[in-house]
Amino acid sequence: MLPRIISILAILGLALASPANAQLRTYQVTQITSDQTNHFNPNINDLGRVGWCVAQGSIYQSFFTLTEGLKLARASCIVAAGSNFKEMVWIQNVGGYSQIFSSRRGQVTRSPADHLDPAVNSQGEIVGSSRWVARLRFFPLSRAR
Amino acid sequence: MTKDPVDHYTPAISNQGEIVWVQPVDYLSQVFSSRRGQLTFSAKDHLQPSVNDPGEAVWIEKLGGSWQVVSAINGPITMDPADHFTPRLNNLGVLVWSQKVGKYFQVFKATPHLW
Repeated sequence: MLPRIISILAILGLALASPANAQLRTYQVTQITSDQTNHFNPNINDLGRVGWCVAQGSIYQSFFTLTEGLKLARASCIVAAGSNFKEMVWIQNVGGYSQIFSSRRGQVTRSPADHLDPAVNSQGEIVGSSRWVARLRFFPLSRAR
Repeated sequence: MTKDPVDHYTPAISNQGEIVWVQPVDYLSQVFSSRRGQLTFSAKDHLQPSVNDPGEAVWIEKLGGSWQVVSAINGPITMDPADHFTPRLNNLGVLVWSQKVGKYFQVFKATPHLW
């Protein structure tokens, strides 16, 4: 019996000592929102604050809302993303083309093409995809101050 | 940044500057990293990737007939019958996504527990 216990402990010890142990996770899943509207594109910062976009009626205006209910920004957009909520990016139509806007820098794309899927990190680097002669490419934009 | 003649879409960027995106490989959407190359290989579509500073990438792929959140490190995060969209994670590995509950899309959060 004792050798068996020792062997089990050894296996457990190996498992706990293994670098791969850090990869073994279980998750506690909780529902954050429950009100009767659509919530899109959530994001979470390192402090655990969660934001998301909410569609506003048939025109799909959206804004980013923190869990505390504070509206960070509002724009004619259906896509928004943020990192640590220092800066938001979204798309909106300008002259028939989808352009990327930033809550800190205003309009950041201007070329006559659709710019889609914006995302931003806390360093102010923005990425997005741009339709260019029937293909998409993504691009980093300049850093924020 | 990318110029090869295939579509690259839905990029995301970590604070470390690592970019993940989706591009087709043999007509299937696969996730790529600017630092690590192709991250997904299974014969299915992988969409809406995100990555945190430690380098954990997440995306959605179809498992059991619905779109589930999958981590490159931890495997499937969700396994319920609903479709799950736009996962994002912070540097602690806490994830959020939206999924439909009744008529509306709601936000969910998954907090990891190491064992």
